[in-house]
Amino acid sequence: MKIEELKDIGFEMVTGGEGEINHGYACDLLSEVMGRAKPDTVWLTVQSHVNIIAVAAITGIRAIILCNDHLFDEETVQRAKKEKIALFKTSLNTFEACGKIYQKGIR
Amino acid sequence: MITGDFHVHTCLSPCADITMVPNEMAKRFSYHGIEWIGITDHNTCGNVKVFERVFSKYGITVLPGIEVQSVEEVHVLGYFESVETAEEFSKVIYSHLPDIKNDPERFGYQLFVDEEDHFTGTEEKILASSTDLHLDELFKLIKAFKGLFVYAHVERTFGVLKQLGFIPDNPPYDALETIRKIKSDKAILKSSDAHTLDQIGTSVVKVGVNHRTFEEFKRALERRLVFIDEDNSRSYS
Repeated sequence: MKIEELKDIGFEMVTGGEGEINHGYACDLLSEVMGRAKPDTVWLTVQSHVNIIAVAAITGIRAIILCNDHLFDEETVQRAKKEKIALFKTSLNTFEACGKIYQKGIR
Repeated sequence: MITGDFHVHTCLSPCADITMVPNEMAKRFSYHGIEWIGITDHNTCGNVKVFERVFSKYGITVLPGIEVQSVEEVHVLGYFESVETAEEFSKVIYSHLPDIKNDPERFGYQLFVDEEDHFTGTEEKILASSTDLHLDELFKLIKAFKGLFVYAHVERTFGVLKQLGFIPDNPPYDALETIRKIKSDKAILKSSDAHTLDQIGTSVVKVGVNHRTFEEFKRALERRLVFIDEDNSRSYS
């Protein structure tokens, strides 16, 4: 799945990124994400602290979707641009957002 | 060297035992020879004044403190120069807590206490919740009250390492609390985080200062004059 396709299923893009998405992961504890997320993943969370970008960069996460209408702070967006990690936001909760992506065949 | 424990809860913290009342706690600290105590309840300083009064009768000094939960669900210890400053800070934190009523049967009782260990009332608002403050906002707020910002139990649940994977470059914390050996250029505290009477004495540090004042504590953190006394520490977690 192309990163841009997340827009087509209703997620609002905050900044674009690079690469393809083959997997999905949902968790708010960054220590868990670092240990378990696979490369080329779209990650769903409510955690917006700037550390999410470093965790994404380390694990090879390509896109982050911030659920429940939470907002990224400016520092997080700037860091994401630098690391070329796509950011999206949504008013859906994590479960609902996962469902949409799961329907597209992402596992 | 002064023996201290700078992370201790009272009966006002929902998750602490209701036996965490001032005279009973003071007796335990005296027994273990611990003479400098950080009172750090969850998101409140409501019992600090009473504990300072009672502990002083036992020759124990209270370092006024609090354990605040940030938006990231990271626990941060704040320490202040006086009870009055801590109470003012506590009022601000109160306004950053959600307007949810505590359910004592689910989350635990939040009890105010007097100098004779009698319960005088309950805190109705939920204290076992996150404030709406981001870590950098919380840092600025603690600093506006001239306080110290210390990451609590960094590797445990609600610790910065667990929540955020690693310690962010900003804000520039004053110290961190850990039960493991962690390398850091900042001072490292090892504390009991006592929620029950029998956890008192499980962890102490030796502070290389002569006087039990906030200024000396601050200086001890800056100069890393805090030492972990392995012989007298028996970790429970």
